[in-house]
Amino acid sequence: MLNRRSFLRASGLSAATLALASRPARADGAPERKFLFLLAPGGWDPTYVFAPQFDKPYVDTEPDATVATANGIPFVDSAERPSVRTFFETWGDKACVLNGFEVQSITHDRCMRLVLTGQGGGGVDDWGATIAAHSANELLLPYILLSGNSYTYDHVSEVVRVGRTGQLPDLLTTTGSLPQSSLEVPLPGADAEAKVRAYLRERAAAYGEAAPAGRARRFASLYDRAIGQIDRLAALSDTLDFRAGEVGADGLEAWSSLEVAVTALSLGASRCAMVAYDGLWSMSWDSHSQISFQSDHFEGLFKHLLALMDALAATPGTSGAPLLEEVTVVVLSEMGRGPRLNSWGGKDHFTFTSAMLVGSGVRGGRSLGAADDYGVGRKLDLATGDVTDSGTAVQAGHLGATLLALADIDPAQELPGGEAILAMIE
Amino acid sequence: MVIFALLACAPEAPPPAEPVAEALVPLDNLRLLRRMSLDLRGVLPSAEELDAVEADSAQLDVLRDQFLEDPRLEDRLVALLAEQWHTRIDAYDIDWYDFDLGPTDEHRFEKSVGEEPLRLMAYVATHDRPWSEIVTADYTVANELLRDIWPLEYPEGGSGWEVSRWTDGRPPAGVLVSNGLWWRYSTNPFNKNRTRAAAIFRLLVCEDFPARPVSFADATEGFAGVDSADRLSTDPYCLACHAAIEPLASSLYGFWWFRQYSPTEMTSYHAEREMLGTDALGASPAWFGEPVVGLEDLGRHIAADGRFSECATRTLATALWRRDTVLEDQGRIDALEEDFVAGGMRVPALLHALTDSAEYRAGGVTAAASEEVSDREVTARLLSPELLGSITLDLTGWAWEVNGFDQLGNDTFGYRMLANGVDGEFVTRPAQDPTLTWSLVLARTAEAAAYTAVQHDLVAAEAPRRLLQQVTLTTLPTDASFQDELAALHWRLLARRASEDDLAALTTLWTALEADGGAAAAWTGVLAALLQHPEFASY
Repeated sequence: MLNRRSFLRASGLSAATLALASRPARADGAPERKFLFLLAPGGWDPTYVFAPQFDKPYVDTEPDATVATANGIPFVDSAERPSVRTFFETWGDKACVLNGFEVQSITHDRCMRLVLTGQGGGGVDDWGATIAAHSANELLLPYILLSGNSYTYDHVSEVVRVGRTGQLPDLLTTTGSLPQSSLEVPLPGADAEAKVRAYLRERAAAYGEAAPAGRARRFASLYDRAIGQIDRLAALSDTLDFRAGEVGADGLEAWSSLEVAVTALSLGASRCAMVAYDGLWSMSWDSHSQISFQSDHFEGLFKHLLALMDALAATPGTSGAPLLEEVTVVVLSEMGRGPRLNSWGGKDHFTFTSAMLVGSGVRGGRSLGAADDYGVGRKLDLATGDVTDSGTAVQAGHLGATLLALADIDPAQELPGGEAILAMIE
Repeated sequence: MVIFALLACAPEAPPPAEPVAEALVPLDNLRLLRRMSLDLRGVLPSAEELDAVEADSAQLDVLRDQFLEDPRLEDRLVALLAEQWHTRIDAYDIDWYDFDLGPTDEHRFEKSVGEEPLRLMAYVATHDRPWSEIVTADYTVANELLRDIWPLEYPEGGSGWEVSRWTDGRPPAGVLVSNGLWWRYSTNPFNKNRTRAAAIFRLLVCEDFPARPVSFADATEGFAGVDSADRLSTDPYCLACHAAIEPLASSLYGFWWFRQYSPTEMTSYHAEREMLGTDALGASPAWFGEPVVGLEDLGRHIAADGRFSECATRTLATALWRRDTVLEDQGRIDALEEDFVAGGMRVPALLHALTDSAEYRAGGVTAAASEEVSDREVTARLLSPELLGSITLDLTGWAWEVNGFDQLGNDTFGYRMLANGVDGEFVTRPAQDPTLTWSLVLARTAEAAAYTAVQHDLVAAEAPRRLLQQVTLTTLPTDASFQDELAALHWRLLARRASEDDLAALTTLWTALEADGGAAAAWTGVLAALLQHPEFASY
């Protein structure tokens, strides 16, 4: 049920200094860990990169591909995917692959909800929102959603959507950068807006004090917080170009969004960010026919990843050290694809899939999990990462618990029964 | 595994219900009138209506009954149903340019398509017809744009949304033969109408098959087959759901498109393809084991299913309680449904009962309320983007429309999701907590609406006035009409008499703004402030 964390935090911190400076929250004095989710919507085929299964008799695998190993990580290597090889050779020591975990559905909507929340129904918050809500800092854009999915319940106010065409900044001007997004009436001056906001915050306080227990008080508190954030957003928009959705350098479709995410994380404005990469030509990863498109999608994904890792390494974080030391990159898709080709040369939905964590806190150079002859994931010892029949059948909740643990949040508090995969954590 | 799947279907005894009414504090009558007016009409109560309830609380029910007969209820039901039917999306497989429409028609095209099934349901509801008609009607409800692009007989001389009839021979089956529904829930050669079947189960009988956990962990031998589709009709584990899904999907092949993204294919019904499903899915058309012959028969089976009326009750309870119904609500839902059925499944009576419910009328919780009830009950609601738009249009004449796009009703260029609205794809339930982007949309809407009202009422001094009734640009705070105007605005916009403190705060704000930018700017600022006030933005 609701833990009222965001409510209490808003109540207690709404009048606090609104600077972007990040407070250390970890025992070792390091800044709190941040997370960048890179989502591949539609369901990827792990056998194209993460899960070499050439020896499985009932799994159809890519022709003309081989198994290679770099930095201790076995992967599927193909001349058509040079970026994959380069990635593992360059960053494999910071990456941990998790194979064979199960997302217990075969519909996109439900799988997406499961892989991001651990549960198939409503009434829960996703990993990004939960982690953002636990920040020790009063963040302006706690979980910035450049694209992709987010599910919230208690932590609605933690998620800041930029809009499908990046139209959020258009709310700060009279003439939107998209002609269709303009307001077409003059806005009041900044001084006038400030006076109105001061009035509104005062009224919100009075409303909250007079309201009976229940949602009205919560409303007043979160309303006050939101009004207080507007001026900070206007100031930040001078530094941060929110415009997303445009093709960036080298034809990387999602790069402009990733660039915004990196900047938001580096400024300490956000603790979490989400960017979706829809595959080559944004055609989706849902390859019910022509499974070979997975190769193109993965090459594109890893091109983005290479550019992202370079940016994280070159950009200072809130501590002054490279952002890569503060950020965990979470690469995932909502489902996998079945072991056998269908009659259309594609693969249908499958509950078993893979994910990869890279960067801060990750025990790199590892690939965990395995599949049986049919592509079905095998059980894992969560502490050692060993495949064992006495281990745990790994599900999306275990991945989520691992992210919570990396965020210094007790998974047991947020996720009943949630056990982190300690073997993924350094 | 079969056992687990069956267990998952077994009814669970509801826990003893906490007496909700005792845990909830009712709203005061004036704020309740405001809530009812917004939910049922989409506009604020007039000052006269507020006066009437203030003078005589019995007028509350009188006005509520009037709201239930107000023509604007139809728009409200469209908006409320859209939150759960998810048909008002920004893009379908084909678009406006496939029909020789112009770019400024883009949003009207998308909105019209998405609203078609919603309009049909809203028509049934507001015309006090039995709800079963939504799956048996021999008509739909269409506007001029749909008339021009779909095979429809639209009344001559009609305008706007009108009862229309399909001319392509599709069966009389209400929303089951709605183009708008099946454009939203499209299918492909791999899916074979299963998505559509799942949508029917979820929307009409509240059976959410995809919510059931699916695990292939122990089904290894099944994957030795070549095509996973074969397993759906042979593997007992898969059959736990697909025994119902496949026959329903099979019944929908009149809407099968040989070519996707084809306007010709997607626009018309294909009676000659009705039997293709049997071959494609290996299952004859049926509704939970009962064979059906065509969609007309399917509609009759759905209407006769006991879950249909319960689902309607849940759907409207979710809409008005602003939350999902839960197991603890079962007793309340059962009682509401019983009356709904006894009354011939008329929606106005159900809305009447729902607006009488403690959950609807609550403005807070008692000290004795459990944390669960306190967290669950939405005792203060957030203005949705639809409501924000309809209120400001009614009050000031301003609508946020650019190049034909309703900016509070689309996400491609507009701000529906940013304003906590439901887009039907990425956001599937309305959020009730204020967010940064919601407050920004609220601010811009309020500022633009206030600017428009002040320009009309004070700067151009056009009659009749829209909102500011008593002041001019030369009125000073020391004038009686100044304070009277502030009090009237407070009353109208917030449904609460202004206290001395309220009036003083507004006067202080006006004075500060006037010093910087003159009287017009000051009134614009004050009006914008009231249109963002927490008591305006919540209800």
